[in-house]
Amino acid sequence: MKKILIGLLSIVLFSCQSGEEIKSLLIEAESFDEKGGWSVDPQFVEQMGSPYLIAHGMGSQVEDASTSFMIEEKGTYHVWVRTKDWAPGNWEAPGQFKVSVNHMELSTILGTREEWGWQYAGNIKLEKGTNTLGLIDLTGFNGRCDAIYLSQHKKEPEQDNAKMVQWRQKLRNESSNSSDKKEYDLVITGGGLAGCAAAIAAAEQGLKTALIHDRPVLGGNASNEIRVHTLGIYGHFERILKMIDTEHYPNGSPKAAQEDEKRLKNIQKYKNIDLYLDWRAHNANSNDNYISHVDARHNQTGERIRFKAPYFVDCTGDGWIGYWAGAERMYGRESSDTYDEHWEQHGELWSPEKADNFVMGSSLLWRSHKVDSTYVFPEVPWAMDVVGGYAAKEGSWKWEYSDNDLHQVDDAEQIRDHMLKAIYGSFYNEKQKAGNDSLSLEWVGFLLGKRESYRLVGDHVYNFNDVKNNVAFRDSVVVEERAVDVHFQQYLEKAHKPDFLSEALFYRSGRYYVPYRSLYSKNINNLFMAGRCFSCTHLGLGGPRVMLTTGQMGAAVGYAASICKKYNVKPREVYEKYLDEYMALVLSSDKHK
Amino acid sequence: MGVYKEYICLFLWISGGLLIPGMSQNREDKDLVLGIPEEKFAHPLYLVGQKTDSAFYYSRIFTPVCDDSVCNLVKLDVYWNLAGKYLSFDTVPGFPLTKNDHQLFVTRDYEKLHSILQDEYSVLSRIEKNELVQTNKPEKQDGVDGYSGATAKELKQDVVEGASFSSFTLWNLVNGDVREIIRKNTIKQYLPKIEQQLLKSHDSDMVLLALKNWNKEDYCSRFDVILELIKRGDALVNFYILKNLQGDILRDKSNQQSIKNIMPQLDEYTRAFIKKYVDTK
Ligand SMILES: Cc1cc2nc3c(=O)[nH]c(=O)nc-3n(C[C@H](O)[C@H](O)[C@H](O)COP(=O)(O)OP(=O)(O)OC[C@H]3O[C@@H](n4cnc5c(N)ncnc54)[C@H](O)[C@@H]3O)c2cc1C
Repeated sequence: MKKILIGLLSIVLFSCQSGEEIKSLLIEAESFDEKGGWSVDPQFVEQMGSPYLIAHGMGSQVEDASTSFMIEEKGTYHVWVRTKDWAPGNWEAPGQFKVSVNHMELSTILGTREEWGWQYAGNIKLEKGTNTLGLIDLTGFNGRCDAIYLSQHKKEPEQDNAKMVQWRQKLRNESSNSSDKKEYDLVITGGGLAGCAAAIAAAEQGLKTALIHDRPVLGGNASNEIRVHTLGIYGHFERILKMIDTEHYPNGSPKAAQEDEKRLKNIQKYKNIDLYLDWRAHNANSNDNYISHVDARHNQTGERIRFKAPYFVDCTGDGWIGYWAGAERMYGRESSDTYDEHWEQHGELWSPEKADNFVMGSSLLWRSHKVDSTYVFPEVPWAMDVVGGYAAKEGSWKWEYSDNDLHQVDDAEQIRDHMLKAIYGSFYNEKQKAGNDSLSLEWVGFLLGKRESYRLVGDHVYNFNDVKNNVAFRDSVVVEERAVDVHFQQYLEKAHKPDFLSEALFYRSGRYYVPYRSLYSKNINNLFMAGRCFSCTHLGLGGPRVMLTTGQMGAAVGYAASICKKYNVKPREVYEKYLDEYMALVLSSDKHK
Repeated sequence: MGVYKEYICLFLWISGGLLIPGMSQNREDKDLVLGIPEEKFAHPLYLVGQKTDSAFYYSRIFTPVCDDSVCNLVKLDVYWNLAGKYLSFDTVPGFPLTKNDHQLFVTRDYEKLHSILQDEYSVLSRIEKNELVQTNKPEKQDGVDGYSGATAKELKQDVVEGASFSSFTLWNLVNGDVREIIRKNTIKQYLPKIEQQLLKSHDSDMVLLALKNWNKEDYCSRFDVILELIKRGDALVNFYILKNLQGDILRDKSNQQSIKNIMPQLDEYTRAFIKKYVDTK
C-alpha cells in the first residue's frame, strides 16, 4: 500500500483583485497548521461549501488552533470569519469563539450570526512577512469556523453560496481541474465496511485499486468516530470481513479504536490498494453513461487529484458518485403499492399509502461516566426546547432524528445539530438529579451516523417481497438472516416522547438474498454500488443495511470488477455472460488467499 | 396510548389475571371470526359486541409452551382492540400460569406479563427462541439496527423471570399474525358503529384503520370529522390526513377557511405541522 503523505502547509492565498490593487487573503480553517482541540468537519461540504473546523469540546473549551500566513504588503486589514450560530434564539449563541492575530485577540465574539456567512471581526495592522492567526474557543459547544478573509478593503466578502465556489477558487488561484492525475483499475469512494471489503476483494484479484475516504480513519459507521458495532452474517466472505469487522461491544464503546487499527493494518497489507484517507470526492464526470474520472480534494490541504479508471464503485452511503455521474436514484419511503410492500401488521408505520420522506434517521451516539471529582456542566438554554424535561446519561441506537421535511443529505447539518441539542439538553437534565455531581460526558460523536439516504437504482430493485419470499436468485451474492427492521419516530405514536427518539418494527424472515443485479447502476455503465446506497426500496434496505451485509456487497462487487476487467465488459455483462464464473469466484471466496 | 387510557383505569383483578369489565358479560354477543384454526393463528377468534360502542376481539388460546425438553399447556383468554392491539388477558379457571420450574405465577408475575405483552416493540419480536437461553456474550449489546444474540441477563426485563419461554410464546401469539387477521376483519366488518368507535379512539392505529377506508369524496363530504381529528394533535394521524388533503380539497375556499378557523385551538406543535402543508395565511 502506498501511503499518500500530504505536508500540512499553511495556506497562503493572496489575490490582487483586478485593477484595484486590493490585497486580500483567504485562509481555510481546515488548513490550519495546528488544529489544537478543533476537529475538521467535512460532512456538509456540498451544502455549505467547505470542510470547516468545529470546537467539539462537549461543553469544555477546546485548545486554540493556529496557523501562520504571509503578508506581502503591510497595512490595515479587515478580518471576516465565515461562521454560523447553530442554535439561534433568545440566548447566547452556544458556539462562540474569537480570532487572534499575532497573539492579539480581536474583541468581536464570533459564531453569532444565523446561517453560514461572513461575520466581521475587526481590523488589524499587519507587517509584511510571516504573521499568525489563532482561533480561541470560548464555550466548548461546537463553535464553527469555515474560513478567514483578510482584506485591505472593507468590502464584505461573497455571501452567495452559489457564487462562493468560484469566488474561493479565484482567490486561491486554483483551477477547477486537478493537477495530479492517477489511473487505476478500480476506484472506490467511501471507506465504510462496504468500501473496505470491495477494496480487499478487488486487490486480491489483482486489480490496482484506489480507496478514497473522507475521514482520517476507515470504517464509516463502524469507526471510532461513530462507534457502531458490525452486525449481520459473513455470508460467503468470512475471511475478508473478519479483517475489517468489529467485536460485539455496545455501540458507542471506545473499543472501536482497536478495530480501526486492525482494519487499517489489514488494508495496508495489500500492495495494490492505494489508500486516500482524508480525501473527499467532489465530482464524477460521465460521458455517454460512462464515468471517465472522479475528482477528489484533500480535506485539509485543498490539494486535488483526478482519478481515472474503467470501473468505479460508490460506497459513500449517500450515492454521491452516482449523483454526480447522473445515475438514477431513489429517496424516501415508497408508497405501499409501488412494490407491493404493504404489511397490515404495522400499516402506515411500515409502508405508507402515499410516498413520503420519513426515512430512517441519523444518529449521534454518546456516553457519560462518573469521574473522581465534581464535574460542572454549563446551562444549555438553547437545547431545552428540544428536550423539555427529558433526562439521560447515555445514548443508544434509538437516538435518531428523521422528519418528513428534513432531508438526510441536504439538511444533514441541521439534523446533526438537533442531535447535539438533544444530547446536551438531556445530559444537563440528568446532571440536575441528586448524586450526579461527578457524572461527566465521556464521549459524544459529532459525525452523523446515517442509516438511509439516496439509493442508486440497479437492474433489480431489492424490496420487501424478496425478503418475505426468501427469493434465491441465480445471482445471490449476499445472504442475510437477521430480522428486517425499519424505524419510526416515537412521537408519531406517543405525543409526549421527544422527537429525537425512534422505535423499530421487525419482520423475521429466515434467510434472504441480495442479487448481484442490485449492485450496479442501471444507467451508468461502469458504476457499481455497495453499502447503504445499493439498489433497494426503503423496506428493502431494512435488512441488509447492517455492516457485515454491506461488507458482503462490497466483496461481491470487488470480485465482479475483476471479471469486468478480465473480459473488458460492463458490470451488467458479468450477469449476462459470465455469471457461472463469477458465482464460482464468490462461492469460493473463503478459500482464496 | 389512547386505548390504554380508556381501559387501564378500569382493570379489575380477577383470579390473578386482568379483565376488562363488560368483556365477560358481552361475550354472548360475539361473532366467530376465525373458526377453523389456520396456520397463522390456530385458536378461535371472536369479535365481541360489534353493534355496541365498545367492540373488541377475544380468543381463548390453548397452546403448548416448550423449552428444550418439557412442554407445558397454557390456556388463557386474551383481548384485543379493533386494530389488533393487545388489551389484556384473563386466566381460565383451572389453568393458572406456571413458571419453568412449575411454580405458580404470583400477582407480580401476572402484572409483568401484562406489561410485556403490551410492549408492541419488545425485544421478543426480533429474537429467535433459541436466543432465550444464550448466556455466553461478554457484554451487554444494544444494537437494534440488528439485534443479534441476546443474553439471558439482558432479556431479564423483557420476560417474566423463570418463565421466559411462556413470555416468548405468548408475546408472539398475542402480538403476531393475529393482529393482521383482526385488522383485516375489522375492515371487512366495517359497520357504522365500528367506524364510530375507530374514529373516536385516541389510538392512532384505530383512527388510521378507519381513514384507510375513506376515499376522496369522504374527505370532502366529511371534512368536519377531519377537522375534529386534526384538533386532537395526534402526529401520525395528522401526517396521514395532511398527505391526503391535497389538491381539490384544499383549493376549496371554505375548507381553507375551516382550517384557518381551528388554528387557534391547536397546540403549537400541530400548528407548526399544519403550516408546513397548508397555506394558512
Ligand atoms: C446509530 C446507528 C446504529 C446502527 N446499528 C448498527 C449495528 O448495530 N450494526 C450494524 O452492522 N449496523 C448498524 N447500523 C447501520 C449501519 O451502520 C449503516 O447502514 C452503515 O452505514 C452501512 O455501511 P456503509 O459502508 O454502507 O456506509 P458508511 O458506514 O456510512 O460508510 C460510507 C463512508 O463513505 C464516506 N463518504 C461519503 N461521501 C464521501 C465522498 N464524497 N468522498 C469520500 N468518502 C465519502 C463517509 O464518510 C462514510 O464514512 C446502525 C446505524 C446507526 C446510525
